[in-house]
Amino acid sequence: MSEELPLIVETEKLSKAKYGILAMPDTGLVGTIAVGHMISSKKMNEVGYVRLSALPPVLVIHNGEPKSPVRLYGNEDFVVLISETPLPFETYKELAEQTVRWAGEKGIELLISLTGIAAQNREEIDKPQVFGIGASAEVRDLLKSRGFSLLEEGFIAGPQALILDECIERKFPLAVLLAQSHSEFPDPVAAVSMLQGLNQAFGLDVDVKVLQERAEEFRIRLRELMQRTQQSMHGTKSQEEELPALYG
Amino acid sequence: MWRRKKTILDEFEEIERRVDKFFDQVFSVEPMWNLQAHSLRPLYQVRETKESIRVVVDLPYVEKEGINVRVDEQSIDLSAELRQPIRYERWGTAQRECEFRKLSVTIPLPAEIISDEAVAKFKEGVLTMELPKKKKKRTIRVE
Repeated sequence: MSEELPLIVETEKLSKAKYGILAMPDTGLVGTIAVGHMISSKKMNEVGYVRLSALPPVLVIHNGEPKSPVRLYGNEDFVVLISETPLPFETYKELAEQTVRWAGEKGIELLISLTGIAAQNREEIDKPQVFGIGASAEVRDLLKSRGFSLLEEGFIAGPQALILDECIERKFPLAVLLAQSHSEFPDPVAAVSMLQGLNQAFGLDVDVKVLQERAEEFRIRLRELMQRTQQSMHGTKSQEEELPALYG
Repeated sequence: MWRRKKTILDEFEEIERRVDKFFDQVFSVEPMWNLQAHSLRPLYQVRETKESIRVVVDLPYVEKEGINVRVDEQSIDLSAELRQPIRYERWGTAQRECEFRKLSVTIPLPAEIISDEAVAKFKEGVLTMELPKKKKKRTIRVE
């Protein structure tokens, strides 16, 4: 009988990290661009990967080495989980449960999930605003004290919704940050706003200059990932553009 | 030569063919590049309202002067020169250097439009086109 392997595999021993940051391809690829830039500019080490039972049959090859598309990077302050491919709906629940369980075991003090929120008039917005959702009253107070406006009314869909739900159930501190973004185009400018918000609120000190300078190049190079992400999310994210029918 | 008059069923079949073609073109997974033409396909959105169709195209690395748009009643042909060529050192399965010089796409429209009344604006590398739909409503006599 084969030995049961853990679903989140650490290839390097992780010391206690204060923040765990999550990014998966979705609206405007905001989280993916922000965290991808964070990994390269902070020269973060690859420290592990994620195995899920319903992951798509895809491995990514980097410098000749095959890797899981869902990986962990870390340094002494924070650990990030990033996916290079859109994840199928069937993986959301398992990913949410495993991530929250693992974050608890590692003593992570706050999970921060990064995403975009579609702004219909995005071209008219010079500096996208970043909103926050807190899993608990304490996290909502923290977000307000660090300068974020809370998303007061709306919907959240996709993997973030299940991670948020899991954190509410387990009483684990989670902040979801949403930058105003193009809904169907990669939005590096929204990712810059996201990183500036993180820098200011959590002292991450990520230099955004290169991302600002190469924003147009990112928009060209990420077209295919954006298209695949759109196809995988089809129908699930459109509800985020609506308002709930009932009030709190 | 005798020719059968077009019936309402023929009209429905024609509409069905156009709808199928539209969905095939929009949702099929086509390559987003053409190595021979040195062109990349840009991302776009098509939104239809009762009165018009709004088409938004992401055109990074492009100046307004380099955009060429041709519109007819059923589709848009768009070509835009890149400000400078985009070079990939190891392109996909070919694993060789490739260079792209323009973005180009043909966008099928979900309804017939009045091409003479189409307007476009370009801001922050995003082209937005407003295309008024042809009005096909006719008054019918109720007996």
